[in-house]
Parts: sequence; structure tokens; C-alpha cells
Amino acid sequence: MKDPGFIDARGLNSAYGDNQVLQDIQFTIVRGQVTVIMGVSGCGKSTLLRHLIGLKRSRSQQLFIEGRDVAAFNSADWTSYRRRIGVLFQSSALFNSLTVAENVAVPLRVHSKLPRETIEIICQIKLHQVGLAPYGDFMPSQLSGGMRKRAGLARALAMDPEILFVDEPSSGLDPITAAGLDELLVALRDTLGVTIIVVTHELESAFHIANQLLVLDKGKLLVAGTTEEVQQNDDARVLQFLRRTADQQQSHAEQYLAKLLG
Amino acid sequence: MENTPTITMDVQWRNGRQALVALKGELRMASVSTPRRKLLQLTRKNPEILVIDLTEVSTIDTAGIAVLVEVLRAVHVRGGKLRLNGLSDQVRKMVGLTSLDQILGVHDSKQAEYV
Repeated sequence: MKDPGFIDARGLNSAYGDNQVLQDIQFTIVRGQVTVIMGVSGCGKSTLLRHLIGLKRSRSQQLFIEGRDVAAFNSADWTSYRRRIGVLFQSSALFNSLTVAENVAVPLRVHSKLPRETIEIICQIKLHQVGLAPYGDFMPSQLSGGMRKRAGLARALAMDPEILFVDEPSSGLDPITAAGLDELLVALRDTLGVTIIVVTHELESAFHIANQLLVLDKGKLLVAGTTEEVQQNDDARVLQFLRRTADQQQSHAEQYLAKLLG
Repeated sequence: MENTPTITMDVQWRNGRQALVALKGELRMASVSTPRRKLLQLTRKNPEILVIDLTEVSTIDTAGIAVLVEVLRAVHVRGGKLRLNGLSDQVRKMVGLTSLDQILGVHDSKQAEYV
């Protein structure tokens, strides 16, 4: 029997009220690979990520994890799944009242029975991995935006997740730090076999780290494939995205003028 | 969804000064509790050299690495040395990824402790 993949979307639909955000999304996330979800702002990337994490659900999401329909997941299944994943949110989502090291320790204190000494060493290791070893005693408010992002990544890695979700890792980072994060993600995949799902619109980063690229546009999946397959795709919107060509504003201009004229 | 990892531990002494510990299984977050307790107990017997043979350890995670660091600290405090032998590719990569290959005293040869 064919391996169903780690995560399978077999026609995922999603909406906020009457606003359809995702339409018939189909792809497979393979274990031990980096999958990058790309697309312009508002295309549905973050909504798709929320479905994969289990933060958003819909009646017709057709989403399968290790072959099981998540529609049949009970709360214990979701708890078990969430212990296996790490998430770096776009905002980093640190607890401002805790030090950086205490933030990294949160999932270990919640989900493991490890003693304090072991947890402290794990936190030091994770902070070292993201280049923040000297900053464990700092408060989040004392860090730059890029450092907060890295602290969030250290926390996402604390439990050695099987699946790591990363939302816009490069935003707010200088090019050197961003490249360092890319290398860390690649090392986690190659060394530990971590399955990584990254949401980004940074083309250079995406093509560097991805085994598979998913390009979304207006809630639809334009293409899913390797970096080579996406580069060879001749869809006009894919080409526009890859060439970073601005949208023609004609339709918006007409709407704007019509509104002005009443 | 996930199987609970297990690990076993065998201890031998040489000359009353070298403790040789063979671990077998997966040294992971869900299994480190018992070997951590036993290894730290062992350090209280003040071995000059504590050798941990990881030949039969198929997988290690950061919690496993952290326990080895705790053991290293405990051995150093008593003036002893820690040697890790028989690292599989996965264990070696993990040690390297955490940049601890220097301080953890990694040796390629299983016989290194006898030299």
C-alpha cells in the first residue's frame, strides 16, 4: 500500500464567514522534507498553516495526518499531535513576563517530567543553536525583533519536534541572520530528519531550503512541486510571483473611481 | 501514535577506578529518567574515568544530550573524566548539532578507554 505521506490535504476548503479563503487545496507533505508554502500576502498561506496546526478547522477540510482524517480526532489525538510539533509564529508570541530561557522552558515544563537541571541545559543548548546563548536571562522586551524571532524558534525546538512549522522566519531579520536560520532548518532536516513546513514569500530562502514548494494564489494552489518543477512552470501567476512583477491595478482603479463618482 | 522508547544500562568496573557503562535502546526525553538517576548515582562512587558506551544506542535527542552534560558536570566536580564511545551516525550528528562534541569527550574507538 502506498505511504499516505505525513500530512495529506485532499481537497481542503476554508472560509471566514462567507469569505472563501482556501479552495480545494491538495498536496502531500513527506516526512523528513522541507515544504515551503509561498504566495503573496492574503493568498491564504497563514490560514493553511492554521489548519495544519489544528488551530482552524472546517467541515470540509479533508485533511489527513499519517493517514487519519483529522475530522475524527478527539482532544487526546490533538494533544498527542501537538506534543510532536513545534511552531514559530510570525509574531514570535513570547511571554513578556518571562526571561528568554524561561520562555524556552515553557513547553518542557508543560509536556515533560524532566527535572529542572535537565531542562536548564536543554534551554542553553537550544539558545546556542539559534545564536542566543548569552541572552537567556534577558527579557523579551530587551531583544530586537530578529532576536525575539530566534528566541521563538528556540522555544519551538525545545521538545525536539518531529514537525516544525515556521511562519515567516525571515521577516524582521537581517540577511546574515536570516541565512543562518535557513542553515539551521536545513541542518535539522538533514541531521534529525525533522519535517519542516515554512510559510514565506522570500524567494531566495524558499528555493534554498525547500524539497517541495506550494505556491498559493487567491486561495488556490497554483503549483506543488520541487524547486525545479516550480521554476519550469509556465502559469502566468507563478511566473509573475517568481519574477516579482507588480499586479496591474486596473480593476482596483475602476472600483476606486466608481466609488468616488458615486 | 507514538511508541514509548526504552533503554537498559549495564555497569562494569575495572581496577576499581574505571566505570564502564553500556547503554542500549533510545536515550530520549521519555526514557532518560532512569539512566539519568543511575548515572548520577554512579558518579558519586568517584570513578577516575567513566566510559559510556553508546554502541547500542540507536537514537538520542536533546534531553539525552542534556543528561550526558549533567553526568559530565558531576564527574568533573569530583575530578574525574567522561568518555563517550561507539557513537552511531545519528548520535554523532546530534552531538555535533549541539556543538558538544569537544566537551563531551567523544572517542571513535570502543577500546580508547583502555589505552
